[in-house]
Amino acid sequence: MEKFELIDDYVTNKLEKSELESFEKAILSDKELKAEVDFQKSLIEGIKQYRNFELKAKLKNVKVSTSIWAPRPLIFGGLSLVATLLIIYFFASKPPTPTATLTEQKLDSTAIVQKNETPTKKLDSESHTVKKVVENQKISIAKEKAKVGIINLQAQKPTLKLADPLSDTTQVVEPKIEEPVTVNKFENTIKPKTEVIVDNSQKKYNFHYQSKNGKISLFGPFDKNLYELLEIYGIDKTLFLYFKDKFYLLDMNQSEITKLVPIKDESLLKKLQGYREK
Amino acid sequence: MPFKLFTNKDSNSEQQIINRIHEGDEQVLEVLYKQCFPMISKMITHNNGTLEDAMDIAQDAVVIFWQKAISGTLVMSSKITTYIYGIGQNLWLKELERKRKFQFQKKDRHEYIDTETKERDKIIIECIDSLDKSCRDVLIHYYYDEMSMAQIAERMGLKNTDSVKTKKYKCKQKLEELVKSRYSESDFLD
Repeated sequence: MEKFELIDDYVTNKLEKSELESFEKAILSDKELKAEVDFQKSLIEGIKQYRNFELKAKLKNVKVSTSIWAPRPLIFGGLSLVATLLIIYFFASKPPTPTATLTEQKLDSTAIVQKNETPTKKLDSESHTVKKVVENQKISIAKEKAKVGIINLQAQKPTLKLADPLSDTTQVVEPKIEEPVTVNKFENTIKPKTEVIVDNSQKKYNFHYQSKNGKISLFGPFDKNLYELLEIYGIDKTLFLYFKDKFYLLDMNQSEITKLVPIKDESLLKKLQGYREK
Repeated sequence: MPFKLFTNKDSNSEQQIINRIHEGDEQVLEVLYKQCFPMISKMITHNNGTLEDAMDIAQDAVVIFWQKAISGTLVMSSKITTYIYGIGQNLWLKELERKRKFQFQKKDRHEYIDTETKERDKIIIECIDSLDKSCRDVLIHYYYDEMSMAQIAERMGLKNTDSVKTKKYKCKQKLEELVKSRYSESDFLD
């Protein structure tokens, strides 16, 4: 029993330092003792393994919802990946806007029509592209929201890639159609984007515009209603404003604040209306 | 009292788990397994493993945690679930390495020794299983749970520590005899 206890205390690390040293010396000189110690170690290791198997066997009977847990990250991961790609695709196809924030509900209120895949028409001599930019800037939100504070939103539609049939910025020419070509929105290198600033705070300028540093400032109640900008590319870029059923020429060289005058030329109006409807 | 799911952010709950393990509350084992399985499963199924592998590794990881907690060798520097996840990661890495070696290496002497050791362990485990339950319990409480004689006496309803001491001695002797009868002594003592 004494020998048994001594070996048992040794294999379970219960010997005092002095006892441990003398026992280890004894092991070195006594092969039979060493073999017995090894055997006892095997037994204790076996007891530990047995208990681990016992515990593991209990866990084997525990049901874990493998069908739910395992695919769930895949499903959510897949869905979020698709959603991310869609968002990237959507925004990549839009010209960047400085403060574009738009909810689906607000998008509806702008009544913007998006045309991503419109056949282009090619001219014999020169290919031009009409970039139709529809902007809704600083939409005033419902009156009850306005009580809390005016939320200004600016929404800019993805540009429509259309072949520009104009050979001149001021003269509209009926295009000669060769064949429709499907537009690849990423191929077009022309970036139609004219930054528009709406200012309705000045009483003196209630329906005016100004061109400065490539930006157009509109003075008047443009935040109350939908307006559109038509960028027409010929030799130079020409801008037209469409507001409340009328077209206005925006001279990019006009650095002075100028009153907006509706275009009255019937043929030009007809063409502009035609491009707008495209 | 049913064991409620704990929140890992609560350090008291963490300590409560360790305490319950020391008390031998095996319900904790189940709770930990259920909590850790999803993340271990995700890790393994994303790393060439199956759900069966995941269950096996998660069970082993929880049991290793249990053993460490019981033996007092647990050094916690993170949440319990994170710790168990770490054990699972290590186990799976070892398993992948084992599979890789198995695939590319022919059987050598090491593998022969491993097989021999496994066979010996298997015999010991079978002998433990053939002991009566009270013998198994006293040996497990002493060698695995590292309980004191007094604790074992209380847990097993024995009269005093001497009774435990005697029972432990007899049970150990019985186990030795069983093992030696199943396996020639020379195999152990050479």
